[in-house]
Amino acid sequence: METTKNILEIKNLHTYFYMDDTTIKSVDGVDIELKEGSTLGIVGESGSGKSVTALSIMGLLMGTRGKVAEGDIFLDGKDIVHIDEDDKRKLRGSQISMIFQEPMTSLNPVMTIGDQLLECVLQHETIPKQEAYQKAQDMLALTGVPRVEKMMKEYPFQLSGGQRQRVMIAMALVCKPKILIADEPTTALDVTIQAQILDLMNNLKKEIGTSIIFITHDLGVVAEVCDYVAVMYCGRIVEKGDVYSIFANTVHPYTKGLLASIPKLGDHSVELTTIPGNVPNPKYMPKGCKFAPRCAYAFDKCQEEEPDFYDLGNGHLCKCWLCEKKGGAS
Amino acid sequence: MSEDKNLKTNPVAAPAVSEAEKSDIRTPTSEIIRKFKKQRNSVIALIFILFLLLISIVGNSLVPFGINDYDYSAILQGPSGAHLFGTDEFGRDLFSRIICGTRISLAVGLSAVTVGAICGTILGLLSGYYGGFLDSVVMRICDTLFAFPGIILAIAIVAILGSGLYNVVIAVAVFSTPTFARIVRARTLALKESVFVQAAINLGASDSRILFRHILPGAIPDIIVQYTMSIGSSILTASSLSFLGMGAQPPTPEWGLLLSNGRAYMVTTLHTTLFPGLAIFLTVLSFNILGDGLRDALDPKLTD
Amino acid sequence: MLKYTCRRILGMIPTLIIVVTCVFFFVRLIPGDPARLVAGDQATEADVVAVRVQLGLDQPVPVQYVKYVSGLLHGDLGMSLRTKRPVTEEISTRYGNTLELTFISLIWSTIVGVLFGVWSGTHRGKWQDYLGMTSAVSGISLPAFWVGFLLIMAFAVKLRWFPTTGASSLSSFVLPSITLGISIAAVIARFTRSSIIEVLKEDYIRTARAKGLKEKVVIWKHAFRNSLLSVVTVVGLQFGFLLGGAVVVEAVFAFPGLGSLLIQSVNFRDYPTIQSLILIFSLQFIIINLIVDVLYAVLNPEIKLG
Repeated sequence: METTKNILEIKNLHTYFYMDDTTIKSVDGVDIELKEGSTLGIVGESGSGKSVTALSIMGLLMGTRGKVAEGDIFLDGKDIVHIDEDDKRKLRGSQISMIFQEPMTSLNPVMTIGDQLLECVLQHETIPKQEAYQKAQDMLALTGVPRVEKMMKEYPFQLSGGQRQRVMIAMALVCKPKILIADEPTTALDVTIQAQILDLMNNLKKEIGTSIIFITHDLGVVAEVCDYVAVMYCGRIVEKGDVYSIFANTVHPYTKGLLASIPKLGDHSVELTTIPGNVPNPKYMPKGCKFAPRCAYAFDKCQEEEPDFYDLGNGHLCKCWLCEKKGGAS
Repeated sequence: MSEDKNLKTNPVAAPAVSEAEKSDIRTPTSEIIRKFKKQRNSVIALIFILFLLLISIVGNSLVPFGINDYDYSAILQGPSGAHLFGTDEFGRDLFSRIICGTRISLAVGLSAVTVGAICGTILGLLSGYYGGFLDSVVMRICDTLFAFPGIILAIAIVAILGSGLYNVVIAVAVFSTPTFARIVRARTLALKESVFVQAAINLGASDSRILFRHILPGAIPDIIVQYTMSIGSSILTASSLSFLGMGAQPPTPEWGLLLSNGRAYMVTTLHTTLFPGLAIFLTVLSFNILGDGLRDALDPKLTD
Repeated sequence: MLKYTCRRILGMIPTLIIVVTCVFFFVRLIPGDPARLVAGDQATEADVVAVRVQLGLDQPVPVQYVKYVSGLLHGDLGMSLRTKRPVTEEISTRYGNTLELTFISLIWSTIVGVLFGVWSGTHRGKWQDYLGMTSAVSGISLPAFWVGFLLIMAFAVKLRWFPTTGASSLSSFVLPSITLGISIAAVIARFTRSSIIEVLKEDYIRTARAKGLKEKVVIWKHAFRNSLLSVVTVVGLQFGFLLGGAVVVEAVFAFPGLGSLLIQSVNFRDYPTIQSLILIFSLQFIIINLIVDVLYAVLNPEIKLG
């Protein structure tokens, strides 16, 4: 079995938000590996901490009350958490890029598309302006937008949502980063456009050799584009592994709940399956396993102690006392 | 896969809410008060204003000297034990005069802005709600009033009506009105489209009920903030007018007038201009800080 | 763009007409008979009547109005009742002074205000914000006449760096423009701060940072550039208030400008001068608003191209 190296390694990440009267532990012990050349999906409900994990990787917590309280992140073996702010900044856009959920508001309304792309190139590469402009334009052309030269001179308000997202992708990839983080990039777009964007990302990934972290709540998309999956709940990873294992041999009750709640064609039930209850209030987290209050399989140990990762073979890991019950290796 | 049936046949009841969570109730009002208390400046400003209000009510009877007690043996003396702020050109105790001036400034400020606020609110509500011709007329009038810098308008009005504090109050009320009208109109327009107002209309509520029970309460935070800020500027305008000789007349101990009196002697005596000015400054400052604090506390979007 | 500007200019006209009419009638409401004042204390009734005819004040008011408006269109502002010279002459000598004072004050206060506002807004919640905003709120609370006096006493009398009164040299503009500019700078600072804070919450700022741009670039090229629209609006508004504030400052510094002329005219019931001055102030204000509107279109690509 060939072992591809991990282009990104997150070890024991804790990101906390220090509010006036309380501390919110958005990410509370996350371990993730991104293999070079692959697409990793991070799945979870709103508030599970997936976006905060992405922001922690990018170092984009300034302006918020969030800070990485503990943990390490290694980009191609190099520590990117305990370094200078300026060094972190140099990584953004050139080594790690990110695109966001809302393409309609993610572009500066008073600058042309061309200027915004150009800015990105010139920040990270010392080449003459003409060359940079050409590079930007070429990248934009790669995203499949029509009439590239015209669009370079246009303003964001003249573009549709799908076009703006393509511009965002171009901006993110123009410096050929090692990693692209996509935070729900298609959630705000029409389903048909969604398919196009996903295709685009896949193709560009192969062309440029970027590895992708794909954040979403949509398991359908995960099945479509991801090689590996990590499922998050309450700031923790509850299950991770390659996409086939997760879908075929789902172990964690939460993941099962997520899969079960997708409506299926041909299913004639009267009621949709849901996961009962709500995500716990961050100020009042339950003791023990955080999913226990909503879990159909919970037993006494679940309310007392938080489980550790159990290795189910083939890189499939799961945090659940059920694994111990079944006799899996911890 | 068989375990999924478990989920369908054995649904778990929604987990109970912990006791701690239940007692952590946050009503809108308590949120506002909490946010306000966090701003120490605003709290200090509020205390100072209450103190000023107290002075304006009882101060006149507690001052050591009368406001018109001439004492030619003690002309233009600097601050001393007997005269905390010194004396003016007639030997009158400046401290007493300034304290008595508190009532005047606060009365002018509060009354002028109250009148302006009431008129402006009514105009804003009506023109925002009914729109049409009424709206265009009211807005044209406001635009015209806005075309004049505030103090020029005040001077013009005082020129017509004559000098004196009553006319200053009227002048300030007139030029405060369009500000309130605009703010309330904007809020009315926004609230008119809101779901609960539409619901009230559909249920057959009368116009006045909608205006006073639904729209006006929504505009109150804006009105309160503007009211506080306007008091500051109206005290400044009133004292400016008195300074120019168009407001309070001697021997009224209005702060602006005191400054104007002190002008002739400013080269040799600092205290004649320092203390009246300081009084105006601190009073206006506390109203403005209070206004800022109220606005931040009342703004629903301002989260941590 | 051109169409937008023309539409704005046309929109100005009704407001102008209303202002001219209001000013005319307003001034007529000032108590006191100017004919009597002009004729003097020793005049007899006959003299007063003669003066009244001479001034055209015996005509019915609508006729006076028409004469006034037609005079305006020919650039004739009438004769000052106080100095018996054409109003245009009175105003032109002082107009330059006030304009210069206003401009100098506006320029320095805009620069200082913007810098303070951005500095505070980008350090929200920290000591820089606290310092900046405390200064700003103090700035809007200071009575201009008090500040003027303190500055005169400190710098003109004690240190003798500047003259106390007049508009003789460039240095005589320093203290008045500082006094005038303080509250303007404060307002601009406050407004800029809240605008920057709002803009910094926007998604495109997050994108800019995600691109690895330097923070300075993010603040000025992205955030401030988007705040510029609101800052320009505030600066324009403040220009109008500058004209008003100049009245008090000119009184304090005995500055020979339009403000002090207004005070003298009001005290004398000099209708033509008062009318003309109020008209000029309002006209300037309206024109500034027009310029602001046009600038707004230039800065906002949606209006420019849409």
